[in-house]
Amino acid sequence: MNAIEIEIHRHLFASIAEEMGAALMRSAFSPNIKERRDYSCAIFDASGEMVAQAAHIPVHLGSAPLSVRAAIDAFPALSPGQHVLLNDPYAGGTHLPDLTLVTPVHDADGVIRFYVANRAHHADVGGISPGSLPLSRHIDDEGFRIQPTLWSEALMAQVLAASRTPEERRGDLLAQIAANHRGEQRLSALLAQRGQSLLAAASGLQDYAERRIRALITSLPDGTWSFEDAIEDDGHGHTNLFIRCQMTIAGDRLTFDLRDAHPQVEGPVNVPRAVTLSAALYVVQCLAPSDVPTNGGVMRPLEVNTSPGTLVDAVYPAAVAAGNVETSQRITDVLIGALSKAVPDRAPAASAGTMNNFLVGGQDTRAGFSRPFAYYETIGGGSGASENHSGASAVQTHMTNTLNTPIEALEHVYPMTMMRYRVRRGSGGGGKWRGGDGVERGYRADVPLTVTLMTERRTSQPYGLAGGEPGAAGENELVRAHGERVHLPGKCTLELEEGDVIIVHTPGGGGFGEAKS
Amino acid sequence: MKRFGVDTGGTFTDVVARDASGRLHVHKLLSSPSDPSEAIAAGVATLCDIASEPHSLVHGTTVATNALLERRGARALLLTTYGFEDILELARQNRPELYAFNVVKPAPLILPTDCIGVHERVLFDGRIERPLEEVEIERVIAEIASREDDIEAVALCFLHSYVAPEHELTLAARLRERFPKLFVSASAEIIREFREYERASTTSVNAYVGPVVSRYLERLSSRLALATEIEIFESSGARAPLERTSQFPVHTALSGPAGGVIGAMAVAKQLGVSKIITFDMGGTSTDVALCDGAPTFKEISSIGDLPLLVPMLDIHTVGAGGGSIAYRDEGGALRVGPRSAGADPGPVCYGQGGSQPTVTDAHLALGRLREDRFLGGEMTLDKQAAVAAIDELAGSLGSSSRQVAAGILDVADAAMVRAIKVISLERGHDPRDFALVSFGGAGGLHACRMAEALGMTRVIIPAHPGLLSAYGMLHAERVQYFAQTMIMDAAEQREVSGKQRIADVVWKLRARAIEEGGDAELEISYAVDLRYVGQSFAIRCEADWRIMDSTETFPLPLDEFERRHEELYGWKSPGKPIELVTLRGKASWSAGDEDSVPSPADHDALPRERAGEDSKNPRQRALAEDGSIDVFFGNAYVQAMLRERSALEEGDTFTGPCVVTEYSGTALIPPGWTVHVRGGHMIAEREVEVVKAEDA
Repeated sequence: MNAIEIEIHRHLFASIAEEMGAALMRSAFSPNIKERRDYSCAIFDASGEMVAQAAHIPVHLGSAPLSVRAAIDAFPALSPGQHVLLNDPYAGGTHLPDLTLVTPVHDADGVIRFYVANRAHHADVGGISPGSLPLSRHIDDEGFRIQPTLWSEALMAQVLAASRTPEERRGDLLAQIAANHRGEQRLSALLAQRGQSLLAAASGLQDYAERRIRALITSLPDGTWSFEDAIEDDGHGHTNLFIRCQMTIAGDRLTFDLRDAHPQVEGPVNVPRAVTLSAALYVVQCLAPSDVPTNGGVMRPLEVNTSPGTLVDAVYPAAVAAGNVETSQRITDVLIGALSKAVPDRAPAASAGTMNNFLVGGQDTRAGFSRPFAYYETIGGGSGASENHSGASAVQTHMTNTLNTPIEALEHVYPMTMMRYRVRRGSGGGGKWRGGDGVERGYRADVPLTVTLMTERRTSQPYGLAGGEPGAAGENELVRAHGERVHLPGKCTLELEEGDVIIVHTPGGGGFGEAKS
Repeated sequence: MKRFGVDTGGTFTDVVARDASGRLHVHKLLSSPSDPSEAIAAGVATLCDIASEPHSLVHGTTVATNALLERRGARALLLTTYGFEDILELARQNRPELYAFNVVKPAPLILPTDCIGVHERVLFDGRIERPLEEVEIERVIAEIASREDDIEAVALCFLHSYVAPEHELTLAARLRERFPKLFVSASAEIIREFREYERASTTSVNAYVGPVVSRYLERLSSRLALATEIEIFESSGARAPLERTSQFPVHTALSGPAGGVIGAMAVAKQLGVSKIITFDMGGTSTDVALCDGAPTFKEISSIGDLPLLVPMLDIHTVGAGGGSIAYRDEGGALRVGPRSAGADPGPVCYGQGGSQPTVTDAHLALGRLREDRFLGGEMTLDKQAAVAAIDELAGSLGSSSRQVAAGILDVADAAMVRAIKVISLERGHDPRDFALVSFGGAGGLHACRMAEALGMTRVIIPAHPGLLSAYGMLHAERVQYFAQTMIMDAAEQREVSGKQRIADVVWKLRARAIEEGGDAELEISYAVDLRYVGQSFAIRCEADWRIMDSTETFPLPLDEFERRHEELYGWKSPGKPIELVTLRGKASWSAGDEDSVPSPADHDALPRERAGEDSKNPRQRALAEDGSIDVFFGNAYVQAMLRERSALEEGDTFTGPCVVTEYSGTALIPPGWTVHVRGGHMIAEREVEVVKAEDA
């Protein structure tokens, strides 16, 4: 494929992925998808390699191809109009709230030429606590698990039956169908118009990305470096769960060896291998020039080694609810830490290193009748500083980039009143370049509520680099209606009474370089 | 009586005047960037004896836009609800670049240390949890007094002020009383819609540009002291009294590209066309917008990185224009833009030092531009230099020069086609139902190609493409938009209380409209934002509530909502509860503006931009005299006719391939297209092919 075709097709594919995203966002029901944009859309070739992705959530990036792969393996001969739904972390998924829908795109002869897929985070798919990111011990504690299954009304009914908020699930699922339908329509029209050249372009674009990534890796020094960091705890008393990475750059190949990680644990901080791949892809994509397209070609020069049964490559029936959101951040910290040893001027100090997950549910009785609800949000923190750059304050870092829910929207929909939302001044690590500051966000319960916090970096701190200081650890605080203050652990589920306030103080980013004294 | 439309740009100030007989007069002069009002006054004086002839004008200003883009506004304070002082810095908490180790958030307009929390709290339903007490007002006043010398403006944005604005308005009134020199702006005076960050951002922008814009408007008024009326063109495409702009300059922040859209609509209306997509391709970027009978609006727009919750036309911009630079990237792909050679040094063929080939150079290399007819022959282009630059690029790509030149155009087209898809297909419109209206210097070279790529069959190139924006200002309606967020289950409209809530808001909006623009000739149309309960984006649906009688009820257009929902997203869910989010009113006072649709005859009277040349050679349009040129179309050179736009006459018809040149640009008519000249406009059409569904 020539230089011109590459560029034209880049626009064509990206425009379809973006249009899918617009359709999903605008017709979905949960604030999590619409306001916070916790979803991703992508196009895959017939072999399941990614062709184009609308830039949304990094943690979805590396894991989506495994979903499509799993769908193809389960249903190699899908007919037009069929869709496959899945969320099973042990069959192409990441954690149960992320529901992935895969739809084939056929040409005029009925041959599957592409797949379109979207993944959306559903605010509740059952499990032992509202929001489906519980302090679980077994995957079955976490909600309704779907191995790749053909979409049907009956399947939807099952999902709805499992959820605390079935109406919202129904709306979000229909939006997912609408998004894939839109992608399928556009791609089949394009196929009819361009035929073989479109297929050539799909693989040409991947070759192009591969070339760019190989050029990038070649520009890095050869050698082997290692780094280690740890997950603080699994919520069930197991602490300091190490993750070690040995990174090797050899010519145009880059290897992340993560085989030496803590064995999988009881609590929900394990991740399937797909999430580890996402972290590796994210780090490489950040290092690459911003115009390298995100597709299957990026992965080709990379090797990611993991051992089944460890924290970073969990096997059934490990609990994984928080792994996708928390352990993914720590894996990223470890990979970037290794990278910083190879190219100290290009890698940043650690960012907040947690998504500060806040999950809440209960019965909204404000209107005089009882309405069940479940809500999920993540809170930003400080980003890490690097050579010549201070970190940014109050921002989503690394594996997520969701928006906040406007307070004026949130207070309308849920029985909570926000008490504060501001920058946590002084929490960024000191240094020649300061880490960014974290956030303070306070929620008051206006009715009795069940809250789950899934947070990290509450005892450990985001590391600084080159003599920079670490960012401040985060803190979770409960202020009871009668005034008692309680320090909460990083991971917990608790019942709030009306008037109780939870304040989440999120970590700052690490500093870079020694501060002048 | 002369009525003026005046558009000030960075380089030129365009003036279009309509006299009492309906004739148009135009004038273009160099802008006076340090004080734009200087060139405006000079331009008006050129076309009108200001001492003896009554005159009024509609003016599109970029003073607010430039103050924002260059960050040259006033130092302002922001007052928020206590605990939420960092609202601007927090923004939406996301980062602009997904894959970048160095997170760079846009700097807020107001420094964190200039944001002050105020003890007060309103809840989501308007109940007051913590009243704004006198002692707190005094504390805030003392705090501001201690900084009075350093600041020029104060913005106020409290939580839920869209439903209960009293705290904001009380404090704003006290501040105005105590600090008469400060520009004080309360969010509830600008918007009554939810989403606190976007509202705070909008209010901050208003405060930030307020002092700058007010001073500018004072200068303008004094220079045009004899004008019977001065109105300002807003980002919504409407005009408003100058006094309103002094108070709410945020409404002009994105007015620049709106003039062309309104001008294009006026031209289309005159030709009996109601569905258009505007295509304004300039040197560095291209603006596109869709008008389905009326222009479409953005839900939330932004300038730079700052979101604005004020009505703005939905204009989508991409970084592709005539000056966009083509290059080979590290992976060996041919890229075009977003870097641009701009006007200086400009494309290689300008011979002003540009060395990298641009879109314009590619056109020249392929024979689509005539080196001797640029700017009406005032400038000669260096074709050899353009070809040499493309040769060099072709060498690095391993392709032929011709392939690369054609490729540059294809790549630029791909970016622009994608932009048009965003405003059409993504919003549920089929571009094939629309005519493409092309203006801007580089538009005519691409318009028919774009149309073909999108399955469109009609392209309109207005007379005077270079003055369309000023022309649009002349056609702007006197309109104001009002909105009130009032989240309510639609089913409640069947109950007395629900009916009453809707009626109350309708009457409030009406009262606000009368307060703004008076009762005379006032017409209000209403729309409501509806969604299924649980959704967070709503669909705007017109509500047919023309009868203004207090005994009337105001039924919500629920069927229309479901129809639109299905059209946009492919499904609906009858029986699912629907929610009213925001009630909107569009107040217009345009009755009596007989000039809103000029007759085609006006355009016969339109002075040509290079009028002298035209009048000396009135019959230059004979084919033989115009000659022909070899132009690369598709994959071969074909012989194309050459025409001078100024030589075209009403009723002329000709077919492509053809190159039409005029002062402000060149239009390329490919084979298969037929052009009709009507009302001075060129309407290019192609045979409707059997087009497969969805192949756009």
